Amino acid sequence: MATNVMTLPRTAEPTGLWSWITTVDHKRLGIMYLVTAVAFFVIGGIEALLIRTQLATPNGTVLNPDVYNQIFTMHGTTMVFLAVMPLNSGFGNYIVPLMIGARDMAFPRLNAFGYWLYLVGGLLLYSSFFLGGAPNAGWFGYAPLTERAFNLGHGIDFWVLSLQLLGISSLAGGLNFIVTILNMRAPGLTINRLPLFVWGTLVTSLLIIFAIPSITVALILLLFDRYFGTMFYLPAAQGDPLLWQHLFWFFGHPEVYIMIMPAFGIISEVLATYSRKPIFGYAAMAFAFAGISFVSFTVWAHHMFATGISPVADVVFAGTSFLVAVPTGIKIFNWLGTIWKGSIHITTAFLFAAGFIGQFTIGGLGGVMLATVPVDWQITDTYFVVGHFHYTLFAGAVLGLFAGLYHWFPKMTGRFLNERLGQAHFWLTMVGMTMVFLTMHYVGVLGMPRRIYTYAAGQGWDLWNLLETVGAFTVALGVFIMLINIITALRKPKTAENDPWDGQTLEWATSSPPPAYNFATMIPVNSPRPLWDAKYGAHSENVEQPKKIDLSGGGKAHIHLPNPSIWPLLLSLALAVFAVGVIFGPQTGWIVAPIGVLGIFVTFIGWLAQPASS
Amino acid sequence: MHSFWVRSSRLLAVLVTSLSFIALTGCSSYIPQNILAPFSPAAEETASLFYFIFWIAVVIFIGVEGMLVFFVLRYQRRAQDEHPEQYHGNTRLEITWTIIPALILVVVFAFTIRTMGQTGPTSPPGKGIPIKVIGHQWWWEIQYEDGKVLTASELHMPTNTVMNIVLNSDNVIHSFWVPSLMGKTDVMPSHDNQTWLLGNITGIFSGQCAEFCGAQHANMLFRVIVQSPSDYQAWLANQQQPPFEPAPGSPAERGKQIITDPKYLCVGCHAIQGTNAVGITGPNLTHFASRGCFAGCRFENNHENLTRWLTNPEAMKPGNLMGQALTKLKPETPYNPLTPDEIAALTAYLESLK
Repeated sequence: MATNVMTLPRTAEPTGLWSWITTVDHKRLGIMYLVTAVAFFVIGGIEALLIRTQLATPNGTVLNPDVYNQIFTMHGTTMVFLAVMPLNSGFGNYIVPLMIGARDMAFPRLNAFGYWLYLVGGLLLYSSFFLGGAPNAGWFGYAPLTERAFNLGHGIDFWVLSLQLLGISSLAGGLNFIVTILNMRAPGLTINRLPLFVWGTLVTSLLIIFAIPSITVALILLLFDRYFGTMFYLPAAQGDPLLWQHLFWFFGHPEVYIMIMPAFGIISEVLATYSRKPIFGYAAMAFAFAGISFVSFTVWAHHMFATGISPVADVVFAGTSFLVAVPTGIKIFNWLGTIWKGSIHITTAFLFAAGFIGQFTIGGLGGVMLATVPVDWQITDTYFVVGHFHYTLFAGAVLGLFAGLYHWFPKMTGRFLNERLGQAHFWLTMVGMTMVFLTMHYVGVLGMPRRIYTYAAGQGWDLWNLLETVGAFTVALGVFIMLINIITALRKPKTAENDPWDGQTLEWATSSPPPAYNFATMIPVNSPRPLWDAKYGAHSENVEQPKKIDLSGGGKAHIHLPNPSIWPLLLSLALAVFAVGVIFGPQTGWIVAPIGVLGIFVTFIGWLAQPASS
Repeated sequence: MHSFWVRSSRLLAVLVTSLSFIALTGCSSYIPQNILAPFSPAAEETASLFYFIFWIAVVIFIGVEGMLVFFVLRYQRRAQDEHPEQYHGNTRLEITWTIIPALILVVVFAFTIRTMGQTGPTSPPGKGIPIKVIGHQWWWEIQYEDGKVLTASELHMPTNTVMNIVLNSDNVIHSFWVPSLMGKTDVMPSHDNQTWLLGNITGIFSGQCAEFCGAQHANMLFRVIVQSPSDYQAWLANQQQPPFEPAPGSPAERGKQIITDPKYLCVGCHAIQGTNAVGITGPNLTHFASRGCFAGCRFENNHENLTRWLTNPEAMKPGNLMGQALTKLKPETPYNPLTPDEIAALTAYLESLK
């Protein structure tokens, strides 16, 4: 076993609330992302249970139509923007610098800014419930239903402004990951040796950079329509609601992969680690990540087959959509190849990764059915679609994130999650999600449209809806057990050694949890799994004799770490003031928004004036 | 492709469905919006394409799950220091599992294009009866004879005749969908979309708005009534008659006075041919009693439902524009500006408008 933590004079790790508010440490920010995102995941889950309770029986009366429409809109918006994306950011923040042997992210304060803006954006969105009603036009908010003429309240304004803040947060995070991964890799860690989680995060970040601007523009046009009567999406002035759909889905489809690519990466690491094998077909896997990402920018109109775009456009977008299935198939088969003839250690993390393969396959196959244009004309906008995208986002992203949680929890906290509770969580999730999401496919085929707050009895849907509701509560019970598991684990002593799972990548080459400076020494990197090579000798080409590189300056040098800073939080708050000022612009005589702009200016200057490190 | 796949697959699907129903509920029933119970050539073609891809998917699914379960069971770690062979890949294998799925997708793509030609909303099998369907919040208006016949919630059509439909909305986006006859086409406010219907079996088929369109999206339903050509002609002739004229002094005449009295607001939204009621926001009531359902086809058109509706529409369909408008009229109380006598008179009149 290689231990790479030298007896280095530990730089004092500050404690206390202030140290968390001003922290720029990627590990602390990663944990803050994860904790916040889990909280929003639970809130979004409660919204899902409300939806399922309403639909458990025909003519449900738990929610009135207006509240129901708010709840399903918030469920979607929360899960996409406040749960899954930040969960990815959380793991990425914590793990990516460790995996590439870096001391922190490239821009630590920008990293903190990304987190605070995410928190502020999420709180702003949720404050709408108490300030006149939440958004109620669905997570893709089709114009003109979002226009002032059809939607008078402030819900949509909250939605627009919150998504803009969250978009800035995502862009900040994405840029930071790209620069970090391209510039701060350990010696020897070339691009073609990146662990697949790092590669997945890099690809995701590129997707973010190219996709977010499209929704930013779409939202600004909507904002102008609502406030200044520009009529971009209103036919009365030759505006076009289809413009919204193109702009939104040009973002919205890559967004699916923004949510799922990091999970692909996690699954790859987990399967390889617990099978004691390298990734099968590493190069093909890496190309598949890139290929799916590239193609994902060319398929957006498959969300619009029924809108009356021309048959030629239908055919082209169907073709590109089928194309996505090829690299996705490559990934599935290579994951199977990775565990084939392995030495599989069945842990909760491995189970979730294996469950991911089994369940995500259904998502992929359902996707092919939806890309088939005539079939899509029948099943689009039914529960078939709802089932399908939950098989990609829940069976895909969320199962991957659960695998990551059980895999990296000892690294992050120094403590183990209970395996028995973990396996209960796994089996409840598997059974529950099949009851909900597979049944949704079927009830969609039976003709049940999505987004209906009620349905009459006698249409053959009753039994299946009840089954879905039972399944949803089963999944929720699993999540509850997971939370119990986390809370009890955190109260136990730290027993995790550096490398509890016989890991292959650099994060297992430092202590659990790692010190503020991550690594004191660095092992040489000759493959995507340097720690494995150091432990067992490399099986790959270009082998050098493992040799430690001392990063400590002989144990005496002062370790150079970035300063804590309050400015990222203050800038986020100033942006929030501006957003609130816009939402209530007409009511406040447009006084608050300029104050926000001034705040942005002042905090920006403060940020620039503060030295990044002493 | 069609007959083989449809027959064998439908048999199996019916078997599985009915077995599960019998097992779980002890009875089996007709599912009105089942896309796999097609009643038109277009829906049948689509269902057969669905089955074709579905069975391919089932085979792939079984293969993947089989390998997964087998590997997980077979290759479990037996000893702590066990070290498996380090396979980094196999180029030949990887090329195989790239090319085979690609070839399958080419086949699926070909069938997709072929079926599009047979079922596409812009490729009707011919010219028949032109009609216009307008999506409102939250009910469907259907126009025949260049707008001379206006009806709501029920689309009548003769068998074996193509209905060439122009879709339009003056508000938000809706989607026109009759699962057992035809796939969806969105109803856009910005441009007129086309679609068509062709039924060869008489019957009543349910349809529903499929694009989220606001508070009462769930209750924006309609029916397609496929009739023999003679029944259709009789229906159309009746729709072109002037409305029933109630006898002087009858309750229905009192109802007519109320509905046409501007102070009750009805005329602002509804139209009855030959009266001062010329509104276009709500359904045309000229032949209201000839329709089997009302309020976005959410309720059967009978005396009890009509009385409840006129007493408090907001309670029956929260957020509907009639309830909203009348609530604005008397915001201090929940809507009930009509006395029971007035409601009885209105009901009598509406029920006379055959």
